[in-house]
Amino acid sequence: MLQLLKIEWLKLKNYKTFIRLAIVYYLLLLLVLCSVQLVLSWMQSQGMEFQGISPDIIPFYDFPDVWQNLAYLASYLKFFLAFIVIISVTNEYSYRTIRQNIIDGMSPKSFLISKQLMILAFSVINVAILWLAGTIMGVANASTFEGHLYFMGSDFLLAHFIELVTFLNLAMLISILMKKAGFAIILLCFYGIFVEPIAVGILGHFTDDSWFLNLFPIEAVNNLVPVPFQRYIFMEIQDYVSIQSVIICVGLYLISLTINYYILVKKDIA
Amino acid sequence: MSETILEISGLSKRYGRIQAVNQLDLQVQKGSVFGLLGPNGSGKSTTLGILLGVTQKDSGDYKWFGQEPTAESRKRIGAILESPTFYPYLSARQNLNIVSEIKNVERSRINEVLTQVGLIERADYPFKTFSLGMKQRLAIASALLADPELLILDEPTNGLDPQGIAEIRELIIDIAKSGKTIILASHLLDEVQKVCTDFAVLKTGNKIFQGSVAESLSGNDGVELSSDNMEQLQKLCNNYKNSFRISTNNLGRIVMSFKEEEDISQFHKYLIDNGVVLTHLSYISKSLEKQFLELLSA
Repeated sequence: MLQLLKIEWLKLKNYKTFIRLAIVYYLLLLLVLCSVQLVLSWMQSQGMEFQGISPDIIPFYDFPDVWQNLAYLASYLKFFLAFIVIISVTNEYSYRTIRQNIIDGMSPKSFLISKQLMILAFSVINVAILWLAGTIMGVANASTFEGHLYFMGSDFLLAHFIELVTFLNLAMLISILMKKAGFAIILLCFYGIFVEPIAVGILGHFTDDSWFLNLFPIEAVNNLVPVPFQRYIFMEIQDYVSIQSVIICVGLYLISLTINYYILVKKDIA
Repeated sequence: MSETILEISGLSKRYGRIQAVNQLDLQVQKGSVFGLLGPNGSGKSTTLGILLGVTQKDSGDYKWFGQEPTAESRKRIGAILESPTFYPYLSARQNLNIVSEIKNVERSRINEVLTQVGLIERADYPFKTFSLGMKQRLAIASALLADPELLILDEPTNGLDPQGIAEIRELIIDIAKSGKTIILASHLLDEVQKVCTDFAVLKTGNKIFQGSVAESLSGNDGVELSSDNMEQLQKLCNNYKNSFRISTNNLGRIVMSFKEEEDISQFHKYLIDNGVVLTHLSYISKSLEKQFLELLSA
């Protein structure tokens, strides 16, 4: 296992494009997560308000709300992480190095595991940054620190992790199917930003029984961390991770993993 | 006593309507340099792709080292298929680091193989800056990394200039001398003739011949002649009872083959008795090329 992760690391650590993308992404993530109060203050200075509530007094970083707020915010950036995964997987096809790896004695299964370890590593780092930003900003903004509030709502960290692992596996599946970075990125964005939201919107409009809409992959990963912000205008929100969403996501993860496995092990490697 | 290093039985692979490999049977003995010949599209690369786990067979079996093939058995094989394949943004050394990790080889081997193929000075340059000859040599270094019992080379001199071809050929002969088994797929017959001990010929997925190079090259393919009086010589050749095929080559010399084995001194005496003295007489050695073309046209 560790050796497979090491092989993946050897492939990436001297790859300048990857290193730059990864550093920019994680810095951006940290910056975005830490700067919400600044943005709210700026909005205040511009005279904006939300339904009569001044932005500056919104307790964005209060425990335990901070975990859901940050996890929701971070989920918008997951597309960038998917691009890194897409580049790493499609490179293996365009350079034909996947073929050489297997000729050299890697089994297709080990290849899949090494990419899975990469995805897990990216997701763990992502969650670690989320945790870091939440802890720093939460402690800095809180008047008193209460242990039980700090741990409350940290299930959203786990939900964020599941969201990333599932989403990045879908990105890997698209990469294996498309084999070219450009095609894969366009397909992922086109599907994730236009096709599915529109399809879900239209279907939701015409059916009353809309539970199956939760099964669409983008919908499913987004449902893990529901939109938290209406709570600041005194609306009811779902402030917990629903078990149903977790089960659907884990199911989608297993399905994409199985398809990835099938393609790598049973098909010719071009 | 010879050990079978590779045994293929009844291997088949079909791409749509094209039968790429058809019921192929093949054995390669330990210590041999085995040439796999065939025109483009005859199934050489498909066969090697199946043997190395990147192409799925439709039916049939193959065994490496007498065992069912696994990823582990591929670690004991050094192989390059088609063009050299590496991460272009990594240096030669960084690329070999990955290979050594996959094959569980000590890093210290990297300097040894880079020295062996003459790339040690360029070890830390990115692969994408290499010339084709250097890329090919790095591929051979990579194949040698695990000190494998068996080396598989698919068109190792493809696209190289004559000097590059000669260098790679020297390298292959050196490796063969060290007692390794080599499987060499090529359509360059001259190459196979110079380095191989055994060979098989594929045509549209079928094996049409397997034998030893030495046997195939024993004997000769007639003689090459010239004289001060070419006209008279031509006439005498035409009238000779054992003559089979007579033609003139690019040097203006007569090329003649015989129906049955000929005692050349008898023939020479016949010419002298009839007033022709030769200025040139040489045997034409057999070539794989000629046999190959005969096999393919059969």
